[in-house]
Amino acid sequence: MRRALFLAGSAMVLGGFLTASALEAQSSFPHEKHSVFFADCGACHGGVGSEGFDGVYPEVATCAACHDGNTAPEIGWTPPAGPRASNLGFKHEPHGFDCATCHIPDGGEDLSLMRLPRPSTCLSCHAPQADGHLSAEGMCQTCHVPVVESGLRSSDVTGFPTPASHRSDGFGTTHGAMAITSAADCAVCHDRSSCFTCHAGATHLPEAILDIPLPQETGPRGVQLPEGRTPPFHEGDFKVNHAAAASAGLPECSSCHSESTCNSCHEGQNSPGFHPLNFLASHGPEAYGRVSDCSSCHNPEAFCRSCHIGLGLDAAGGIGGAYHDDQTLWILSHAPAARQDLESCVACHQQTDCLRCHSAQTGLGVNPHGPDFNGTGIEDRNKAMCTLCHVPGA
Amino acid sequence: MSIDGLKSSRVRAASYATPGDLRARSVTEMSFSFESRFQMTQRKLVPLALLGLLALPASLASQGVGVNGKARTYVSYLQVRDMVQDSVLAAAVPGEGAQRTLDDGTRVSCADGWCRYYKSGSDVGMVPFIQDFELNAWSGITGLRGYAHVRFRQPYGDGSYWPRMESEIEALTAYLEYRRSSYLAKAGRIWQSTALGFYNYDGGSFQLRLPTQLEVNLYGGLSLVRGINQLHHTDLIGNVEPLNPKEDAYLMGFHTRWRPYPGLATSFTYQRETATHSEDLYSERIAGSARLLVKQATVDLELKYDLASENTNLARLAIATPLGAGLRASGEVRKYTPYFDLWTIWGAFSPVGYDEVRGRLDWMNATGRFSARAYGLYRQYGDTDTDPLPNGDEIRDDGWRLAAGGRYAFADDLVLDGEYRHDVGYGASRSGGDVSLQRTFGRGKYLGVRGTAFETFSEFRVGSGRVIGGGLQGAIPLGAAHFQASAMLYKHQQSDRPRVLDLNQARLNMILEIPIGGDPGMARGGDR
Repeated sequence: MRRALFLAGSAMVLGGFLTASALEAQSSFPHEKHSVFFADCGACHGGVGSEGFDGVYPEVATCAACHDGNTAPEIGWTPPAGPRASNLGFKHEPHGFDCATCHIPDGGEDLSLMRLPRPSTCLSCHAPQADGHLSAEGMCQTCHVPVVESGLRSSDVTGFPTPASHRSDGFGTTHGAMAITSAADCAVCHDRSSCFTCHAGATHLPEAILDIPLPQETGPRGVQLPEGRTPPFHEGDFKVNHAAAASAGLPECSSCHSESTCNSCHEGQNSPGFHPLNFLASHGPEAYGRVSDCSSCHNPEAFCRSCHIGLGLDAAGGIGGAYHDDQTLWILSHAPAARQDLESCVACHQQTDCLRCHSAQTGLGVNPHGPDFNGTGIEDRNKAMCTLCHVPGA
Repeated sequence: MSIDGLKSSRVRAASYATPGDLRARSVTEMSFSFESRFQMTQRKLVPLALLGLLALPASLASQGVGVNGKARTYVSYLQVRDMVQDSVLAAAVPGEGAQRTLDDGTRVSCADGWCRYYKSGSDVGMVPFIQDFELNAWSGITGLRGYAHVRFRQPYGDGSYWPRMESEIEALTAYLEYRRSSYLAKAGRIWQSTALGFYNYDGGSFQLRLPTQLEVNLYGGLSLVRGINQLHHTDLIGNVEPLNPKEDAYLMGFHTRWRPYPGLATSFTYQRETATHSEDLYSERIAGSARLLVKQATVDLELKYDLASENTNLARLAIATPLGAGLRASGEVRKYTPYFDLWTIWGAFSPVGYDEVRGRLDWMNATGRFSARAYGLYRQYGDTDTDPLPNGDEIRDDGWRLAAGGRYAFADDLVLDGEYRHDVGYGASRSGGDVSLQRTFGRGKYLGVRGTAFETFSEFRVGSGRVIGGGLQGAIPLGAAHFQASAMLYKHQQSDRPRVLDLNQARLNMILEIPIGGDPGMARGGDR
C-alpha cells in the first residue's frame, strides 16, 4: 500500500509538470528528495486533471514552510502564472493512468527519472505502427490542436522538427493528396497563409485549403514559408517547356495560378520577367534557334514584322536590299536558308516578296515545293491558298 | 481541445471562406450582351464587361457578393535607334557586282545603278503605357463567376514603334463561368490552353469531369489570331501583309485529360479553324501530351501534328530526375518542324526542322546557399533538298548552346547570381552573360544591381556587335500595392558596319500593382 501511494504521489507530481509544460523534458525539481515529505503527487499538483490552472503547481507557502532559511535554505521559486503555450491537446482525465506510467520511463520507480512524456509514449498506444513521432502521418490531430488555437508563434512552429514526409522528394506535388485526406494534420503547424505562399493566384483553390484555418489577425501563426521557392516540377527550363505538364494537368496550374499568369506571357506584348532585360538587342540567335516557340506568344506578322518595319528593317524583297549584303548572290542562294528557318524570314518578308519569283501566275514560276510536299492534302483543306500562286483548276 | 476543437475550427475556417469560396465558387451577374454568332468586338465587349463587374459593390462581400482583382500599370521608356537605308551611285563605288565595299569598309548591295546600305537613324524614345484591370466577380449563386482581364494602351513618345499600341482598349479575357463539381461551362472571351498552345476565342466551352479521372472539354467560337486577340481580318495583319486573310475563322475542338493513376496524366487535343464563309481550313491539328512520375523521375511526352501538311511539328521526350547529393539532371530529345496556318503560303515552301538533344544539370549544396547549373543543346537541321550554293559556300546546318551559371547567398537576404551563355547556330550566334547582386529587405522589397555583356555575330542579320550594360532594379510595397522598377543602360558598339554608329539603349520599366477588393479566401482579405 505504501508503495502504491508512493508511486501515485510521484506520478501526480510529474503529471503537474506535464500540464504546465515545463521547459525541460527532464524535471529539474528533485522529486526523489521530497518524496518522503509528500504522500502523493496530489499534495503539490492536486489541480492536475481539472479545468484551469489552479493547483497544478504548489503554493509558494507550501515550499516556504520548510524552505524558510532555517529548516531548509530559502528558494526564490514562484509558480508559473499560466500554462506555457503549446499545441498539445492532451487531457489527463480521460486517460486514467497512474502518473508513473507516462512520467517515469518504463513505468519504473526511480523518481530521479521523472520527466515529461516523450511522444513515443503517446505513440505506443495511438500509433504503434509508426516508426517515430514525425512519421506518424495522419495522426497529428490526435494529440495536437491547430496552431491558430495553440498560442504558439510562427517562430515556435518553425523551430519544430520537420516531418519525414516533408523531406521526401516530390513532397511539393504529393502534399495535396495528403492534405485532402487529413487537412487537420496540416493545421497543426500551418495556417492558411502557408498555403497562399504558393497558391496565391489560384483560380480554383484546392478544397483541402479551405479546411485549414485562416491565421489570426493577431496571435498565433503557423509556419511562414519563404517566398521565391521553386514550385514542384518547375525546375530547369519549365518556363519554356511546360506545355505537356499544363495540358495534362500535372501539376494542375489553376491550383496556384490565375489566368492572368498565362496572359502575362502568352499575350506577348508586355511580359516583364520572361525575357532578359536586354532581349531586344540579343533576340536574333534566340529567334533563329527557336529555343522557345516564339509564335506561342508573338504573332509573326503583327509583332515581329511590324516592329522590324518600324525600325527600318523592312524587306525590299528584291535584289537591291541592304540586309543580306554579306551573302554573295543571296537572291540565288537563299533556298537552304529559307527552308531551314522560314519562321525567321517571315519576321521581315511578306508573302508577296516571295511570289515575285515563286508564283506560277505572276512570278517566274520557280517551284518552292519540296519533294515531300503534299499538295493534294493542302488543296483539299484550303483551295484559296493554292490559288495565290496557281491558276485555279490548273 | 483536441478532435472536437479541431472540427470546430474547421467549421470556422470554412465559414470565413464562404463569400467567394475562393473565386472558384463565386458568382457575378456580368452584363454581357453577346452578339449573334459570338461576334463581339472589343469595343462593345469591354465596357459591358467592366460595367457588369464594377456594378457589384465589394462591400457586399460578406453576403457572397463582390468584386476583387488587381490593377496593374506598366510604364516603360525604351530608347532605340532605328535603321535607315542610304545609297550612293553605283558608279562611285569601286568594284563590280551586287556586293561591294565602300572605302570605309561598309558593305553595300548594288542594283539598278545604286548601292544601298544601312546606317543609323535617329534616336527613338518609346513610352508605351499599359493599364491592365483583372477583375473577378461573384454574386452569391454558388458556382457562377465572372472574370475579365482588360487592357488599355496609350503610346507616348515615339510609341508607334512599339507593337500593338494601335488598340487602345482590349479585353484579353472576359467570360461568365458556371462551375459545379462535375462540369464547367464558360461563355465569353476565353483562352484555351492545350498542348497545341494558347488560343483565344469568343465563344463557349463545356468541360465534363467524369468519375474515372477523365475530363472532356468541348470548345468553339470565333477564332482570334494568336498573340493579338483580333479577328483574322484585322488591320494589324493587313498593314504588314497584303495577302492577309479576308475571312475570319471559326475555331472548334476538344481537349481531353485522363489521369489513370496519380503518377500519370495525359491529354489529347483536336482543333481546327475554318473560314467563316468559304469553309477553307486555316488549321487542323492534333496534339497529345503525357507526364509520368516514376519514383522521383519525371517523364514528359509531347506531340503536335499538322493534319493539313501531314507534318509532325513537335515530338518531344524529356526526363528529369534527382541524382542525390543535391544533383538533378534532365535530358530531352525533340524533333521540330515549323508550323504555319493554311491562310499563308509558307507551309507550301516545305520548311524543314531540326532534331535536337538537350541536357541540364542542377546542383544545390546542403544548406541551399550555393547552387550551380549547366545546360546545353545540339541541333541538326533536316535536309533542305536544295541545290548547292552558286559560289560553293555552305550555310550552317547545325547549332549548339552551352551555358553555366550559379547562385550564392551571402546571407538570406543577399544573393549573387550569374550565368554565361554561348550560342552558336544557324542564322545568328551569341556569347555573353549576366550577373546580378540583390538584397532583400523584407517581403516584396528588394534592391539589386545588374550587369550584362554579350556579343552577337551572325550570318543573316544586320551585323555583329558588342553590348555592355548595367543598372538597378528594385521593388517596394506601398501599402497593399506593390511597385517594381528597373533602369538599365546598354552601350552598343557595332563591329562590322562603320556607318551604323551605335544602337545604345536606355530602358526604364515600372510596374505598379494595386489590389482591388479583398479576397475572402485569404487572411483578412489578402493579408498574406
